[in-house]
Amino acid sequence: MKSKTLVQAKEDHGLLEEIAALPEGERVLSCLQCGTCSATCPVAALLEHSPRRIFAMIRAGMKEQVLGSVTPWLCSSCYDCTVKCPAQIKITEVMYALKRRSIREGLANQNSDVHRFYQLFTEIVCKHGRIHELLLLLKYMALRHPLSMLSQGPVGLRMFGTGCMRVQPHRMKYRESFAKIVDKASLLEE
Amino acid sequence: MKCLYYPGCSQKGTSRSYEESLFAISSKLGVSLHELEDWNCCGTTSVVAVNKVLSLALAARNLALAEPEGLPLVTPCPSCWLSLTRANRVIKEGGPLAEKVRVALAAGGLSYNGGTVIRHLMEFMVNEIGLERIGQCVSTHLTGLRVAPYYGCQVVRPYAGEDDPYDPQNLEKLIDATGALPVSFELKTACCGGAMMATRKDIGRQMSDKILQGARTVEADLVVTPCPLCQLNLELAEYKNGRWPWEEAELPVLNLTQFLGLAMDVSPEKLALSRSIVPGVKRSVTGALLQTVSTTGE
Repeated sequence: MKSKTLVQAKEDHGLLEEIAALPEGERVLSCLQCGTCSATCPVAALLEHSPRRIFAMIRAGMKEQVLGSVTPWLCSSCYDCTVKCPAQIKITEVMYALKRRSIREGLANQNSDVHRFYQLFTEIVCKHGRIHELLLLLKYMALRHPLSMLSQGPVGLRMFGTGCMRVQPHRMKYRESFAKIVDKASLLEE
Repeated sequence: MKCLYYPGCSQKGTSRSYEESLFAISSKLGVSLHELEDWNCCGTTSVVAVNKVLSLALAARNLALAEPEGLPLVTPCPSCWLSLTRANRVIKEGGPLAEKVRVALAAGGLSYNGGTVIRHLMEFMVNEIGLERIGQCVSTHLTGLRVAPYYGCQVVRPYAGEDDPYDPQNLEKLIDATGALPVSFELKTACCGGAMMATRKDIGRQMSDKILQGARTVEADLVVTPCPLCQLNLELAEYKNGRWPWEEAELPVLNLTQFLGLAMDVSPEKLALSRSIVPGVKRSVTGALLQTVSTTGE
């Protein structure tokens, strides 16, 4: 029964099929549209598409709209919906899967730069082994609007004052081994 | 008690106060922490949004480095704890994803057999060090101090361990061990907004602000959290309209270890209270303590 539905969905519902094939997406077809996720989500009220609607859109084959939506990018990974979903859908993990696909397919919403934050974060970790908060914030703000850095001045200065902003990036001891793992893992992406 | 220590990136940067205060109390608790050599970022909620295998491989590298030591890997950061725990589960379950992680690790000359046990500091304190031992280390009973237990998200969701995901109690138990009163706090597992304080400040601030308001409503003297990002975000949310709060409006937000250290008579310097981003936290916390101690006559 399940496989028949998936075969029928193949032509118009590429995203649904893709998500349903992932370990975290196996229960996506069990969505009841009950709305528990949207009622639980701390940012739902601020979203163009609530989590419930995102699941309905996935099933309706609205791939571009789903991957172009900022909803997955505004998921703060609080896992409240995941714990409460009566259909036991791993909603937070599905949101991650949507984020990855929106980048990979070049469909991330270009009016929002939130996805760039995650990409910059990943680039810095791949290069230095650990996150470098100052570098991340500077790169992100420069990309967003160089002047936005000024508005952060007082808070930034305070953070330097407390000694909480590391200036020097971390240097890994086993850099080569680390770089090989990163390169290999990047090639093996799902 | 000897254990491996996985700090997580925050504890070397924006949350140095968490690590410093942890080290300040660990000797009192009889715990010796050995930092995992050459650890790397766990990937947290960011790398998994870009590349899943990479995020798992980053976490797994730490597990592989820890495995030969044969000691529990303790981390103070909920997000690190979640990332490491998730990778551990994926690898132990086996399957194509676990195989990819294995191949990636092997490229760097590492292997991992699923033998690392990951513990979050808060749960480790309650279940391993024990409330009795912690109680014995308390030299200044914080009787009368109203403390809002703020868990944040990832230490209770999606994996709550032995605690109740809907109404966790570990933090309350630790607050109670100091003699302070853990106030009933409705928003104790609500989300602070996470990375949104950087990406969508309008939303992040609103979420953190709600939690601060909640703590004020229940008349908390201070907020205590086991999460470095929650601690940072709540402090950042106190900066409003271009200024920091004045004394009365200020609500100190402390790391769990800073709070416990106060009850163990560890100096404010060693607890890194002056690293709080909200100016004057050190003064107001020591002031609140003095008041508490004088009213209870201890």
